[in-house]
Amino acid sequence: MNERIEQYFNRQLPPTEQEQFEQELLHNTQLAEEVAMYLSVKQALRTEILAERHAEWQQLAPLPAKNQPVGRVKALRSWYSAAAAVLVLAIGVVWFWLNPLAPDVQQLADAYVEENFTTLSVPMDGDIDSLKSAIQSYHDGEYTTAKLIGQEMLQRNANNADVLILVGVTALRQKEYDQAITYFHRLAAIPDLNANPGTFYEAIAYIQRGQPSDLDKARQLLQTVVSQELEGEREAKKWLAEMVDN
Amino acid sequence: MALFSRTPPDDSIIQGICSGGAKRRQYERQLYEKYAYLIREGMRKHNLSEQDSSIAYSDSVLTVIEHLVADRFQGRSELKTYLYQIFSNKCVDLIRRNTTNKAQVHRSEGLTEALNMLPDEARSVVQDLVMQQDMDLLRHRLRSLGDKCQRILWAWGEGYKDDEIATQLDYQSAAVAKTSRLRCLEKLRELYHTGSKTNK
Repeated sequence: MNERIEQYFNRQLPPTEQEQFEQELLHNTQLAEEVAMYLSVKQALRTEILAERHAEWQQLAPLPAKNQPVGRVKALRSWYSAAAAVLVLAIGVVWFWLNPLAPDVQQLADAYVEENFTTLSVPMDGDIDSLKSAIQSYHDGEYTTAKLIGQEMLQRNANNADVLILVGVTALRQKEYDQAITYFHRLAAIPDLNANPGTFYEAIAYIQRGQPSDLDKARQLLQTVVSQELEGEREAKKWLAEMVDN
Repeated sequence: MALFSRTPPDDSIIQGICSGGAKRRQYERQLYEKYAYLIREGMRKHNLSEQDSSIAYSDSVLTVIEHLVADRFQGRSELKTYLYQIFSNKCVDLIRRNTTNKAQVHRSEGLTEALNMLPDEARSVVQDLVMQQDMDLLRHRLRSLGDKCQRILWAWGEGYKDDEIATQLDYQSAAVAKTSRLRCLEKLRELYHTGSKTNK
C-alpha cells in the first residue's frame, strides 16, 4: 500500500507533498482506489471492533439504575435505620446536586469545542497557502501565530468566512471571548453562505464567557439558530432543552 | 464523594487507557461501567429501546477511547460531559437512521472526518469509490485473513501505535510492525478484489 496515504491522513506529509497528493488523487485512479480501500478497511475494522466490544461490555454488570448507591447493609435497630435513612437521603440530595446526571449547557458547550475544534479542515480557497499555514499553526497549538496570520488575511478580505471561523475558534481556545464574539458576529452577518455557523458559534462564545446575562444572550442566539434552521441547529435544540431542564 | 464510590476517578481511567499495554482493556471496561447509567438517559430522553440505547452508548465509549488514544481529548471539559455530548449525538443519529433510510450505509465519524480532510473535488472522487465498496465482503475477507494479519490490523484499528503493536505482538521493532501491517493491508486488498471478481 502506498505509504503516503497513511502519512496524509495522519497529517505527516509536508504541505507541498500534501498538495501534490491531493492533486494526484484527481488523476491517478489507482491511488484514489487505494485511498478508498484504506478508509473502507478502517471503517470495516471499526464496525468489527464495536461489535466485539459491545458484546464484551454487555457481559459486565447489568444496566444500573440512575445513581444507584453502593455499599454494605448492616442490620440496625429501627431508630438507627431511620436516622441512617435520613442521612443517606441528605447525602443523596447533595450528591445529586453536585453530580447532576445531565451536564449543564456550559459543560455541553465546552465539550462541543473540545470535540469539534481540535482539528480544523482545510477548505478550498483563493488564499489557500496562508490559510493552510494558519490551520497548521492552530493544530500545533500555536494559537498566537494562527491568529496573526488570520488577521493579516482579514485585512485583505474582511469577509473571508473560513478565516473568520479560524480566528474566532482560535480566540475561543485562548479564552479571548470578546474577540471570539466579534469574529463570529461578523461571520453571522455574511449573507449567502451555504452553511453559516456564525450565530451558533457566537452563542458558544457567550456561554463560555459566562458573564451575567450572557446565558440569556446565548439563549436568544440559539433560538435564532433553531427558528432559521442555521448551522448547529441540532445542538441548539438540545442545549435549549438542557437550559429548560436545569 | 469518594466514600460511596467504587469506580476510579476519570484521571485514572484516562491515564490507564492512554498508557496502553495489557491493562488498557481493564480501564476501558471501567469507563463503560462508570457512565452506563446514560443508557437509561438515552431511553428516557430519546425514546430509544434499551438495545438501541446501549449500542449508541457502546459506540460513544469506543469513540471516546479513540479520541483519548489519538490525543484528541485535551481535558478542557469533564470526561463525563464529553461522553454525554458524543452519546447525545449518537442517539440523534440513530433515531435519524431508524426513521429515514434503514438500508443506507452508515458512515462512521472517523470516515467522515477523514473524507473532510480532502479538498472538495478529491473528496467527491474518493467518497464515490468508498460508496462502491462492498463492506460486507470486506469484513468477510478481513475475518478470513491469517491470524497474524488479523491481529495486527485489529490492533491498528483499535488505535495502537506501531511501537505498542511491536511489543504486544512480538515484532522486532516498530518499523517491522509497520511493514507487516502495510503488507497485511495489501493482502486484504488483493483478497477483496479476487473475491469481488468471483462474486460478480
